[in-house]
Amino acid sequence: METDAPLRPRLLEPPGGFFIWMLVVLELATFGVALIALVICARNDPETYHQSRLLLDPRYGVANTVFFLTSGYFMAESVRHFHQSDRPRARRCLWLAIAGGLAFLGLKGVEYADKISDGQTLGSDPFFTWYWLLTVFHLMHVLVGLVILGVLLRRLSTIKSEDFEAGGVFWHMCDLIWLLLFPLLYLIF
Amino acid sequence: MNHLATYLFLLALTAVSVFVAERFPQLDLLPPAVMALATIKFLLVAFRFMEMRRGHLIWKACLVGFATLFLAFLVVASP
Repeated sequence: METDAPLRPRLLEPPGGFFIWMLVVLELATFGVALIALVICARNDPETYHQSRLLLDPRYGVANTVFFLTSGYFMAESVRHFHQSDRPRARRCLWLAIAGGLAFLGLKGVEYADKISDGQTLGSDPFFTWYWLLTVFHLMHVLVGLVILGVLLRRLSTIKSEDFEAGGVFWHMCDLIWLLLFPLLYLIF
Repeated sequence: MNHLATYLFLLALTAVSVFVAERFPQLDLLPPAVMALATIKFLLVAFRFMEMRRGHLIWKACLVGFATLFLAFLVVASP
């Protein structure tokens, strides 16, 4: 008797695999708690957070969001082409995803240099303590993500489909975290 | 909605949130409005780029639940 069981998504087989999604859930929970703590601290001292937030240039945040979204788009396209066994296009899109990540890193470096030269460092005030802790922690994930994308690129012809997808999920996770960090740090206080 | 349409929509939502934040900085509803837009972007990336639309209902519920709870906490806690 035929059943439709294979068409139903299975609990233990999310896109990219179970373990990468467990990692995503844990990372989101960690950042989520930190971001809520930031908002609670800002409620206790709104003027300091507002004045310090005005010292950030939102253009950096916007440009970095565009870089990350563009990179995420090419990563999603790379996975799609990979599933269609179109390796040349998957490779091209992966290169573009890496380029987006490198652009993010480069601009973040410029922004950090800007902040340090203006004396807005980790201990300047509570807002900048959060700014540095959260963005550097995120940046570390981006660096790991870029290494993973590099490995995917190197092993594109031999890698298993689920592993390729898992690499993409990790990269998109960095994107998800940035999408929550950006408005909180650059826009709302 | 294909990936390109999702991408363009994400850029448009980013533009709207920056416009609202820059144009109406004193608005009481600014934090929830901007964070609601960020939550929509979050879910779009999760469901379209990460392909969670193909995932089990429990994973989808986890993501939507996280986004909703996060937004609710922020709205309650925001200055």
